[in-house]
Amino acid sequence: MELFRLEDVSFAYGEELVLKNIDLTVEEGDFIGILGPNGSGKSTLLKVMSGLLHPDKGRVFLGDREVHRISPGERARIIGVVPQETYLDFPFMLEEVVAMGRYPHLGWWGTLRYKDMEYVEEALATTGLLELRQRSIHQLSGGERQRGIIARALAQNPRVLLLDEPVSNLDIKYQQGIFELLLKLNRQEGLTIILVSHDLNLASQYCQNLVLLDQGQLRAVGSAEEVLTPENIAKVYQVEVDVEKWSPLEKPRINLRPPPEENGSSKKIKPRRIHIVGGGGSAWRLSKRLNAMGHLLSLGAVNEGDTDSEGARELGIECIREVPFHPITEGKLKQTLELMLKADLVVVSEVPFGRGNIGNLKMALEALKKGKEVFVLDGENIANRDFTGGEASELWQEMKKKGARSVNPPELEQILKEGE
Amino acid sequence: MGGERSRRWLVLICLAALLLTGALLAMAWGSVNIPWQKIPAILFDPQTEHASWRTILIRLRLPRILLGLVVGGALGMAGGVFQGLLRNPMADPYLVGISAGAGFGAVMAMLFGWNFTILGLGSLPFLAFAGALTTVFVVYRLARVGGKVPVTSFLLAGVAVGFLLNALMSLMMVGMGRDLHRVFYWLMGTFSGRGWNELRLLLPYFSLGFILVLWQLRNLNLLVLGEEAALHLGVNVEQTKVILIVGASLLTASAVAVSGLIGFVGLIVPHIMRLLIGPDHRYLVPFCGLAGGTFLMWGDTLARSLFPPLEIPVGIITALAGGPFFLYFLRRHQGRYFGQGG
Repeated sequence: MELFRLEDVSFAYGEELVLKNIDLTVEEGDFIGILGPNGSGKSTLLKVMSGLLHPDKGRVFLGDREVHRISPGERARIIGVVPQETYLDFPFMLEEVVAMGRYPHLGWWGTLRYKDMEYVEEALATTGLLELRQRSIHQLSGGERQRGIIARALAQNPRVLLLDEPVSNLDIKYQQGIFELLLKLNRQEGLTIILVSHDLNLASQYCQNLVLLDQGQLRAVGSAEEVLTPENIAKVYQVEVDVEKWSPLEKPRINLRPPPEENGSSKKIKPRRIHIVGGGGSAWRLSKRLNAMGHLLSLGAVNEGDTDSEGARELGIECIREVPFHPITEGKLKQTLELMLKADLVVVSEVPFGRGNIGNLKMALEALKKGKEVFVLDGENIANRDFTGGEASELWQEMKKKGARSVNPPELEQILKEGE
Repeated sequence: MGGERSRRWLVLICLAALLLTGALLAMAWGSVNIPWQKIPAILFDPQTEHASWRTILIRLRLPRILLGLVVGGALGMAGGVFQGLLRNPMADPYLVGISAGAGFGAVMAMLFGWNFTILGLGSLPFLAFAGALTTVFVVYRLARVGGKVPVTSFLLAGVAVGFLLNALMSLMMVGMGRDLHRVFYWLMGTFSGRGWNELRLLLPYFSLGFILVLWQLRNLNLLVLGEEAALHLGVNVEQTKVILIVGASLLTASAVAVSGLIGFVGLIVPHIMRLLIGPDHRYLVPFCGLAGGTFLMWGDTLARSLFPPLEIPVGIITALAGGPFFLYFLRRHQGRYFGQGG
């Protein structure tokens, strides 16, 4: 069911346009992360959704009504907000602060009934604060206080929770604690969660969908895989990153690339086309390194499902794939040779060779004969990974005779850096 | 919350005891001393043999006791409201220009020797009352930006307007000469010569202010967490602020009109009560009323019985007694105090 719908929403602080023509729908039960650089309008978007700010143009619907037409009291029974800052000048006890979450449900004096006490109790229990309930909020740590504010929002018993950078001042233990709590509420209670975050990896890990804002406009909306691409991040944040798939959760992870050095001490690396012969994961580390250096890679041929095949997919590398558990066929080998010939150089990693993939070695030799530069990684003796009864070793020796250079990975990187 | 509740009961019982003993002493002491044991009998028996004592009690001392309670209660509650509303521990009922407005009106009445009666009020209390409310209204309008009144601009506008009016008041005082003594007494705050009449006239304004404030105490609790947070918890923030400002201003103005500028009550009573019963304004503000009233009643009793027949302005007593008392409290409870953690 549709919970929020933003139609062509624009908002300006004075002359400065902070949100531009935002169209967005949020489904009930979603877990959304709003990302974007400083000043991109993330918090403003949240405030427009909570009804705190009224858009200059466009409309914000909560259910089938415009959000500003709903009275503050009723709104507070639907939307719980955890703002970026909360003033806690007065020494209220934690449970008093949490009980304030019940106020939108109470009469003018704010008398708590039994049912309200139960909500307070539950909110304290969910956030793990039962033992601290009698403490003054001044005696709590930053993480405890933040959980207290979340507990207050939960006591409102809302259908949707809006959070503005809920973990920005907390250490990783509390960051995890709060995100796990939100995930649990989302999964078990079906609570819709919309949060603003600066931490791309946390958002990737926990949010179901992401919204990427850039100067008040939507740059991308969708799953983490769709939104957190190096291209999107380069456009929005103006930084170069590598995006890898982090295996435990199959979620994208962002790693910052060191910026290119600008002084003359180190030459800028000239990107090369490199074809790598891999298989069984032997090419994974190398292709990751070379990819990070900015070279244009291709790989193959390998069987579908092979570790290196998956690795190539993750890095977005062109790869020749044979069907699983099948010797590599003539056709695929021909394509592999074509890629080798298109490349500036060919690298043969420490692959074990058997009947199925010996063809790759033949193709490398072919390329060498046609004048292509070939490097072989020779750390592990070819004899130990020759499962062809000597044929692979023979080919190996012949390649070396014909001028294939034997290197280890750091040497190879050095050679590529020097631009030989 | 059991601990808080029993603490509140304890404080309530103590305050009630202080109030009753204070009232008894206030009726006993004065230029004529009346034995306190006989007071109940005299009060409740119209046919008493001590007719003159009965007259003193009913015509003079009882109304002053009630005035002390009402004025002190008004100042205490208004102080509690303004400190919460402005989220500022230095706030008192006079901060936002009320005292300056009231003083300006009162000095004008004295300088020009105006003598009229409006709505049963004499020229001086009327002008003080009107000056106070007008000033708050002007300050509120000055601080208003695009339909909202940010607390900081309200505070600053109040201080600025206050300075302006104080300067004008001083300017008028320069030209006053022999009436300066009266102005001085008024500015220090006194109950001298006030009675049933003043009490009756101001009770409606006091009651209205009290009801308005009481109505919004729940929301004031949320407002002290910041206006954004309050809005997210369902408070109509601007409406709540207006009601609280009007209510607290009515309380203060009715107090000022009767007794002049009695300082200190509205500043320290809320602090002491917050230390004793915590910051829940639903209880804090009514307790401030009770404590402020009791405190001022005691102060007035001292003011008129220390050097009879001379009456010291009660404002001097409240500052002299309240200052050290407050410092003692502050030292003892530093840990529980505003924003200091631990």
